[in-house]
Amino acid sequence: MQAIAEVSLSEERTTEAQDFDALFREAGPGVFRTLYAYTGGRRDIAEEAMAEAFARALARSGAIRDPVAWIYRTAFRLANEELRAERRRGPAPNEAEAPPPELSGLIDALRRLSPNQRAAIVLRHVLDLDVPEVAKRMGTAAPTVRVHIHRGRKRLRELLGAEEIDDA
Amino acid sequence: MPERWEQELRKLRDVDLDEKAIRERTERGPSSHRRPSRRNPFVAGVVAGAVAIAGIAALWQLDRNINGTGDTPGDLPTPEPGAPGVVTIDIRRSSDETGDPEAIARLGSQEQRICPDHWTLVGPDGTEGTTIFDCGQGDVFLAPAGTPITVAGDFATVNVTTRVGGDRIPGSSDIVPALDAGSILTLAYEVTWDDGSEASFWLLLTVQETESTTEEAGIVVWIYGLGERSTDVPIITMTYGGKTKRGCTEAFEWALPDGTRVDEAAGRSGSILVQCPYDPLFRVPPGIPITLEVPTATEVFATRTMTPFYEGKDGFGASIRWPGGAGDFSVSFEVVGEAGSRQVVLDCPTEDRVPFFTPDGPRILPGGSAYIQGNMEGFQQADVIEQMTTHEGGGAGGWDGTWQVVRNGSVIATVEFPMLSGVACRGSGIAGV
Repeated sequence: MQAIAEVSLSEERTTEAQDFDALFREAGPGVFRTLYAYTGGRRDIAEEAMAEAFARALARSGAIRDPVAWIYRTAFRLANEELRAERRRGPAPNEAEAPPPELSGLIDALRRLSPNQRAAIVLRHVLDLDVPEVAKRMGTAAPTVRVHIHRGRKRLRELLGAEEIDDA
Repeated sequence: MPERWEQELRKLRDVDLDEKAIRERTERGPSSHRRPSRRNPFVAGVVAGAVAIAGIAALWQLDRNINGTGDTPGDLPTPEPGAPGVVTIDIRRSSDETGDPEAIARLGSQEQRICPDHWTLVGPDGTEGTTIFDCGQGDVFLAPAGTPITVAGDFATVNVTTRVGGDRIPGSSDIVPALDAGSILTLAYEVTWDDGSEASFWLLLTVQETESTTEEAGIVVWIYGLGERSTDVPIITMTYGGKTKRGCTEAFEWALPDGTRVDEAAGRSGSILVQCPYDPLFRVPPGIPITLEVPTATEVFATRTMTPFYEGKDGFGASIRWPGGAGDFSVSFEVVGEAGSRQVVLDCPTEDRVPFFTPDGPRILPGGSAYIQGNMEGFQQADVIEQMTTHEGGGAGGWDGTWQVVRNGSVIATVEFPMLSGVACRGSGIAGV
């Protein structure tokens, strides 16, 4: 009986690992890019928040009905906590890594939006999610998301320009 | 063709993550991860009963291991203590966190962010931006009648109105009025600032039980559906001895009016349920009544009507159904004190008390109340089957002892566990009596 239990436990763990792997591959890049924007280009905070959120999700495997949305919300909260903590204590000299040159203009503009505006804009315009899905991942109501997107777009137009660009 | 800002934004699609490093970090586990403690025996009993009777298999998944995000069940919200015995409303033009207006209510250890209805902000260039909010209060905020209310902040003017059930109560903006415990006040604050900005906020304040009434009433458990006290989760509170603490929302699912479904893993404000520690919320005496208040429910199943006669950790569980959803809840308490010679007494005349004996045949073997219900006949769905005494050195799970069956508030049978002999009121149907 014990052997059967051990085999099924082992199978369960293998399945969990496979599920987690698929989840990481599917959602990981989007989570990271959103966090990268949310934190205003803070790769260190984005990576740590993402890893911690995935680790927590993995630890409670099976108890989360919508893991992707859960990971986003948890990661936002963790990143926000870290940013707030950093504001209180001030960043260590080597913590705030400068963004790469090709992103510096964008990151500079994003930093002038609120974190929620950044998240809403990235989820909507980079990950191409619809508003209800953005709301789900941010853990807020759709009308609030629309406000964040509206304000964020307006600000980005002012900061980065609204002229049409040849996409080719 | 995209606009320039959109094209700039698309550069984020090329930002790569350091997958190897993040995977390695993930595999090390949560940073302050604690292994889940075993569910304590009462909860196992609570859940077993709920599973058997209400068919909530999902409860067994709920030995969750969440690490400290959101509110922790137990003492109502969090740090930054307000002035003792005074509700303080702190209203600011710009929060440190977001730069937006914010209002926070505090009383003792409770802290509640107050919902804005709208705000109109005037920028440095004189332009105005108005935002309307679809906002709900995140938690219960409790204050006893007679508690002073003070308002502070950086505003120029504030106008306060107080309503109960839509009726305005003049002159009650600076003190919690003497209303029945459980009454809900809506305090509305309309403020303006010197720069021309304005905002309005509202706070739901629940009038708290006073010590004298709760001692007489025993334990009172309130359960609130989604949106009644929180837009994040349905909430259970336990009141005893003049104090109210929050219990565990074990699981829930809800359908919002717009068709959106939310559940414990997908709350509306990033709220996910936190680990239920199952530490006792209160120390209570044996044999006191537990009153359950769920005014908006359509279906109620509870696991206890009173505290047991034996000492030790125990608790109360409930499965509730509302028009919009359903949830499972628990509160933990520790029974302390001698029950003396208290025994279970049936609520029927002596001549109608009929003994019954151990049934023949094989038995199914779930534990707790499920064992009794599964091996005997005559139970109705809303019957409460609760353990009242325990044998010294009782069997697995500590379930050996005398159990009582309560139907519509009356004790209709006693059952000895595990023998399944006992006494039932004639006509109850229990064990065919």
